[in-house]
Amino acid sequence: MNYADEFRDPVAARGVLAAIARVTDEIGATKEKPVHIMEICGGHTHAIFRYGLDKLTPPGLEFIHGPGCPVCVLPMSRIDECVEIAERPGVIMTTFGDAMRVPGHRKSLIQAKADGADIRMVYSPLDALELARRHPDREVVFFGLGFETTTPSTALTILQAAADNQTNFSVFCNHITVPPPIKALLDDPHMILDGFVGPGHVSMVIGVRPYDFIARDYGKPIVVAGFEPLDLLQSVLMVLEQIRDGRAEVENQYSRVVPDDGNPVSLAACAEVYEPRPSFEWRGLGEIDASGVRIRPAYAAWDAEVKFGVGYGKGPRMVAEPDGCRCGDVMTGRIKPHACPQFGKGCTPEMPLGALMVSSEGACAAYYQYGGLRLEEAL
Amino acid sequence: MGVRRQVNVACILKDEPIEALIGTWSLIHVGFAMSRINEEEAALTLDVLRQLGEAQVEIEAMQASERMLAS
Repeated sequence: MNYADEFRDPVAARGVLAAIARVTDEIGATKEKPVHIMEICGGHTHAIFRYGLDKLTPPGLEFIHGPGCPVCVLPMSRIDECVEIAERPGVIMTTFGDAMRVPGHRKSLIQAKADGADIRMVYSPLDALELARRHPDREVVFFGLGFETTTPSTALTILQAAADNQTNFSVFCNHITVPPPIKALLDDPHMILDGFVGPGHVSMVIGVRPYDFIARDYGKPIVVAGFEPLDLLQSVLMVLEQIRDGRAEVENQYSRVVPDDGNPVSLAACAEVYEPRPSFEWRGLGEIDASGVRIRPAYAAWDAEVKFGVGYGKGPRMVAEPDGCRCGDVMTGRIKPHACPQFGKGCTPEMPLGALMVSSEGACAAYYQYGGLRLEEAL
Repeated sequence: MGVRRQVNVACILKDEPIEALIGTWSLIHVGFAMSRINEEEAALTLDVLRQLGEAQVEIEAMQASERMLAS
């Protein structure tokens, strides 16, 4: 038992797939009039393509890929601001690897590194803090990025830096939250979604109650799901059963990892360190109210926006994306990745034009890597 | 095999000595243990999945038998 292999069992998968086909049929969904289920999380998007689940499920079931890839929704202006800080003399910028190739208006972090900026990839914010200890003469900045899954790790690192009085360490905070963009999608008059597969690792932090509004106010089912193929298939089945039965509830398929109330230590650390921003810009979705957090004034000594005078609302905000890039339409489910004219031509994982091609959790990168026949058709 | 690395366990430690974690499974993310795997819940989820798998095997056997008798 390692809590992963058991959730890849092909015999069980046949059973769940047969049940999915049966319930899709009972709903009356067809290829022409499919039921639309959004997997919110980029990790789920990746798993669906990695295991080919979209090819195993019936044509009457269509996956819409949600905005849950933090690198993909990061606006270009934040990359520009990160590059600006990284190019200051004496700065060591630290970042998770997947942010390195996200295009900015001027350059990506990897281009800035090639141009001489000291930018280093780290596995954990704790490694960035360790770097600050080893280089007391330098300013070490961590490019804090991610949803509620990752937000507590940055908060705990700031608390550690504060406890150690490590003043040459700071965080450029870009942490964002899942529920507000879901509400924005549900408020879109062109919304076609019938239900949601909810993010598993975000939910292990925030619990399942923050999704109540989806069922209560919008009448849509949501099932919080794990990341193995059987987790995803079982969750899809649970969403379909709710649709068939006319129910709209918040259910938790990933109960082995997600407690209903989340993780109290993580939530307390976040409440201590962060406060909501009035709004935050999402690539493809625009400004969304209270969808991001910033570091509280009590921890301003560790806030790179304060320390370097760079930050949200300080400079002109350019919302425009590169010419021909349709990341926004892909993100909102209006088009599939291969329908973008740049897909696989001007935009590849090696030379991405849009952010959805950068991260392995991005819908375009998943299509490119695992697209098979559809990819050949598109090219 | 695998990777050895120091992780922060603040998020999963309840009122107990740190030794209580030995032998338990945890989900690790960017250097932090974020959730302890609940083994009872895992077993319950697997039970449901196994039942679906077994039911399908039975349905397929019945269908094969029907086809055999009809031919």
